[in-house]
Amino acid sequence: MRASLSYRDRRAAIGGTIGVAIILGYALVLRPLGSHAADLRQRREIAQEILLRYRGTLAARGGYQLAVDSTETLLQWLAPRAFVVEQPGRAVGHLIQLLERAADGNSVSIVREVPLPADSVGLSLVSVGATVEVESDLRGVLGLLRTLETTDKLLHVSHLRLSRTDENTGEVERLRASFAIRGFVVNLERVSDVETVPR
Amino acid sequence: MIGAERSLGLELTASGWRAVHLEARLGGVRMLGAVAGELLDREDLAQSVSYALEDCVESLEVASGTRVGLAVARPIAHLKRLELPRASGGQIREAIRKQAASVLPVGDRAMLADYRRPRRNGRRREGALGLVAAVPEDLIEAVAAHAQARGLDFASADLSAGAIRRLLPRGVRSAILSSDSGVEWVEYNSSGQVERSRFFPAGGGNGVRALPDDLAAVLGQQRVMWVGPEEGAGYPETGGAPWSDSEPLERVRRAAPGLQALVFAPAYGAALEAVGVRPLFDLRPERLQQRETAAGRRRTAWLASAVVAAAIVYWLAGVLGLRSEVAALEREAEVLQPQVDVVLQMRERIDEAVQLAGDLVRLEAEQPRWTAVLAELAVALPADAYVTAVSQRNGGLLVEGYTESASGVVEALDDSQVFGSARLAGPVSRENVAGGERERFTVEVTLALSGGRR
Repeated sequence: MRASLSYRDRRAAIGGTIGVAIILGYALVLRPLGSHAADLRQRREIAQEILLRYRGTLAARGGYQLAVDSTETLLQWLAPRAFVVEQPGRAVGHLIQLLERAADGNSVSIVREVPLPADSVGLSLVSVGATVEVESDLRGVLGLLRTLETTDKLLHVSHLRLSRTDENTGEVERLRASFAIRGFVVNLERVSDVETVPR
Repeated sequence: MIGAERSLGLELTASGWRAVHLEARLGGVRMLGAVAGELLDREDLAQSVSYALEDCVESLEVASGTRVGLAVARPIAHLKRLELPRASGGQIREAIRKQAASVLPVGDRAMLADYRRPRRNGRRREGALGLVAAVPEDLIEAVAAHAQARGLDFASADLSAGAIRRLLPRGVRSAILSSDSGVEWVEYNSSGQVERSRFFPAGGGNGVRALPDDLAAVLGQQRVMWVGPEEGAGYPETGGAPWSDSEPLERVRRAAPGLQALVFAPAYGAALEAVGVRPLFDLRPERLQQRETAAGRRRTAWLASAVVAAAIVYWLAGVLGLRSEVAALEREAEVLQPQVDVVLQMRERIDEAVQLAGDLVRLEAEQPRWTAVLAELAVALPADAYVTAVSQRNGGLLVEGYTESASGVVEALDDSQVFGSARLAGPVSRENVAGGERERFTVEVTLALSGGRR
């Protein structure tokens, strides 16, 4: 085969073979390797950036611990003002019980209680409540409101309406008061690690 | 040049001639064989030399001294291979004379020293012919004489120096040109011109041996190139007789221990090139010659391949290093990630707890204080007014009741520190109630204190 080719033909064949080898080497080896190298450089930049962030986060660990301590201290005072139950529905029951105790203590008769749907107040806080209609004299109504304002749980009274009843026959005027009362429940699922101490 | 080219060289000696069959290749000259013979006619030769030199020197005035001088000074003339028609011996001689003028510019007075019988080749005869220009000693003397007579600045060494100096290595300023006719010492200046020269003819074998001591002393201080026949070279057809006496070389070598020798073959090639014959020899430095040889090309190709391979290996090593660096970084990130996750969860819980605390604080501040509001309402209302209904409206209160003067109620509530502003929110009508005729009023008041919102 070699003897049948002239010198020029052999030279052309060798040159063509070398050219094809160069093209194939570039397309199949050098180019993929180049792209692999570019990927590696990008991965290195990303890894360096991640490591930098990780080291910064770990370096701030001490500061976070201090923040945890101060926040827990604050919550130890604030969290007992809310109901701490696992289900908001149970908190409504607690709220009704508290209301009924306050009404009994002030000689107020509860005419109607209608629970309100729970509502999210914040990320870890849910409000539960009820609309209430009570009857009593002025002293009783004011005493009830006073009790609700000063109880250990944080309660919001809204949509208050006071009016005379139609059955005012005696000396002491009977009043009917309607209002909405809301208490607040800490969402234990989100703040499970925050210590809450009931008062 | 690819392949070999064969030609004949002819050397004249004092007593005869030698025709040498040479094969020229790119790397040098190989002697294939030689034939020796006597001079045909010395008297005629001497006369012819005289005539030839006249033409030769005439040519020197317009042509390169090297071109003519070297070809003549070296007792070698190039022999062309001629194609001759079928002819008699006399016709052939005449044809040779005419064609010889195209080889050397000596006209038709050039001397034919020898020729070979043309051999039959179809209808043509081919012959390899020699052309004699001069015997060296006669030539040199004659050239010197003619040069002086014509005011030309030619020393005998100029006849050979033009080509020989091209063969000298860098830094070599002196050469000894050896031939059977004698030894010629040439010293060149910095620009390559002949500074001085001395010729020591063989003189029956005594001249070379009488190489003066002062020259030996000079040679001992310089780098000298010996240009002559190869030591011990012989002719196959003459029984291995040496090309020339090697004693001058030995003497010079004793005087100059670092003597470099240049065999005659390259010098012959230089002479051929100098006379305008197509170059048969590559007289460039070896490193340049090697580039064009197959081995040199292979070496260059290997070197280039090695450089490319080294570059690729270097690049691959960089890629591998990058790969290991990335792996180390990612491994370190994997090790740190669990610790970072713990910290991030802690931070998230802190954020939630802080928000919870903030919400509780805000709700605490926003807690309505209705007992305080109602107490202030009781204090603020005039003594003749009594309230039938109180309801929360739009962040304030809507107060309904009876009084003797509704405007007094508005004015009294307006003056209160707890309430912001008061205005009548409905018609005022006079009605008969238990205490007598009173004005029924509906007043809307806003709350100035945050504790009374809602």
